[in-house]
Amino acid sequence: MSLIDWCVLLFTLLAIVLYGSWKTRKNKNLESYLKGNNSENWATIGLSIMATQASAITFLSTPGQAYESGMGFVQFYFGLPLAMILISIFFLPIYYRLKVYTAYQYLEQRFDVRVRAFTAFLFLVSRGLAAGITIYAPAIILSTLLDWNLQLTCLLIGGLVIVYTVSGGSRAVSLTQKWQMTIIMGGMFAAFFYVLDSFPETIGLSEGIDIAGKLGKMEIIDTTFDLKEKYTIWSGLIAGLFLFLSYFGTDQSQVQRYLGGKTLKASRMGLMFNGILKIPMQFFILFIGAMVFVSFQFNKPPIIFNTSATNIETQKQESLVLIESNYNLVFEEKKEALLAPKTDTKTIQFLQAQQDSLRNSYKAEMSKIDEGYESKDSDYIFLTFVLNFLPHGLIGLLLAVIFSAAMSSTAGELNALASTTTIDFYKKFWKDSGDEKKDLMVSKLLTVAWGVLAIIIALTAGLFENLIQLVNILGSIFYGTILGVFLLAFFFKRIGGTAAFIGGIFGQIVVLSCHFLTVYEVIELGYLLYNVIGSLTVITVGIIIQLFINQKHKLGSNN
Amino acid sequence: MEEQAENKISESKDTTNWKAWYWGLMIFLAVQIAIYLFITNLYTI
Repeated sequence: MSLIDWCVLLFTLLAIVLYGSWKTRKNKNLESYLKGNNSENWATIGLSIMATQASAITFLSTPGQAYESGMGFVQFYFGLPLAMILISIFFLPIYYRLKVYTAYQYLEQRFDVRVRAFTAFLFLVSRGLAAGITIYAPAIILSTLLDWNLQLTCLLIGGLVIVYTVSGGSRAVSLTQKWQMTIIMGGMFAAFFYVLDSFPETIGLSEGIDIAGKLGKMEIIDTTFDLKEKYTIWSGLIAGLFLFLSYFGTDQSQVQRYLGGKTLKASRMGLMFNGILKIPMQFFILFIGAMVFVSFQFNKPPIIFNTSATNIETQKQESLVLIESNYNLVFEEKKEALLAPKTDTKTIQFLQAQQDSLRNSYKAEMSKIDEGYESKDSDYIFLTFVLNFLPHGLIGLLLAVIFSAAMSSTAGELNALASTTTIDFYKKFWKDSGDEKKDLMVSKLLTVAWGVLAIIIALTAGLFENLIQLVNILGSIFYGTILGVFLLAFFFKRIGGTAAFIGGIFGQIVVLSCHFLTVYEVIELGYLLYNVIGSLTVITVGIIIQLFINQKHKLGSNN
Repeated sequence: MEEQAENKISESKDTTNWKAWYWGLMIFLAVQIAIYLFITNLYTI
């Protein structure tokens, strides 16, 4: 990294932090701190919703996913527009009418305090762990490729977020997210044009798409109905709908974003904004990955992207050198075939399969030599391209994109965690002093506490081998249950608190059982289905328990 | 009661045709899926 990259990176980050802190310096009470005085317009809400969802790993990992396995991941988002519509019709008006700070407050009004505390607790557990990983995941990639200190990178991301989230609360989060999202999209567009610029002169965009298509990267839709497959059109539309209903409708980190809207209309527009732009945005990021793949057909890619994972001595092993030299030969042969005027598609596909096979052999050999070697390196692909092909200055901007994405999602999470702890636990069970200044101070201290906890989780995350994978599915483990309770509340008017509470506990037990049975390979289930299973179990058990309670009451009154 | 009345007033002031928005969003999703299906069929190996 050059001096200019450092200047761009530091200027962007500091400008965002100072802007967020300065614009919200007048926060005096809990309402303005947690809801931003209901002053956000639809564009800020829409960008803020998108920024909260898009973490740094979205921008690091998604292009790598397209590079490795094509653009099918976009199907994951197909349920999102319908979820936006349902939230806009059913969830939003109720939250607005009741003037709640957190989604879980509504559950006390609808059921009882047990259900409120139960769902708020599930949220705190899942989001609390996720906040740490939101910091850790980009930090490990940045520290590996740039040779930065991992602990310092975690502290930098976490520390900057704490500064403006504590000082400005919800409004600071939304305002900074608006600018962070602008920087993110600007940076990604710039990266896209540089990817195209890295193609040989005879290859343009349409030829690039054609090459990506011939090599299997443009297979977007999978129409097979297979429960084991993670990304098909059906899992996206059905299980995705449940996931996004739960995430956007009941996860406080998202609910808090649109509860800060000026009016119900502004909040609804913010949701529509997200519904319209989310899929094209994900498609674009995946498309960048597919074009990076095309670029690496002509600019020799490293045989593995996570090169720092093992020491240089290991990489000098004879077997590895042999595989790499074969890999280079196949690369040159394929490059010539692609540039030749008329080459059979099957020849190119055959050479690509050979190249992939050599890459896999190299990884397998590395794993044999070094037991600690992490063979999954798709998260490193995009950043490797950025560092090798982008001009100085733009590298700094792209790093600012990654930091911005990490900070925007972490800020949303910390803000929501502090709100839920303050409103649903501190003020509810411990002390409702009625003193606005004191409550505000408690809320700020809780933001710091959650921020410190997130940094601690990030700093120790490396000790747990499968933590990233675990936290990726953590949302799905808890979201189904939470959504089930909310669906009971909205659509099953005769269900009472006891039935909803027991249904919630049952739902959680069933989802956890499904997860462990999947982990121990007793059954095979895509994790997206946990959302459907959790919701349906809560609803079914809730209805059965309510029928049982009604029967008991009938018998009691007859006696 | 006052709050509920206030909310009703603000909701009744909203003249946005939300049904059109919702249908528009669904049609936009269908168009995107159709385009993706077309691309997929074009390049299925």
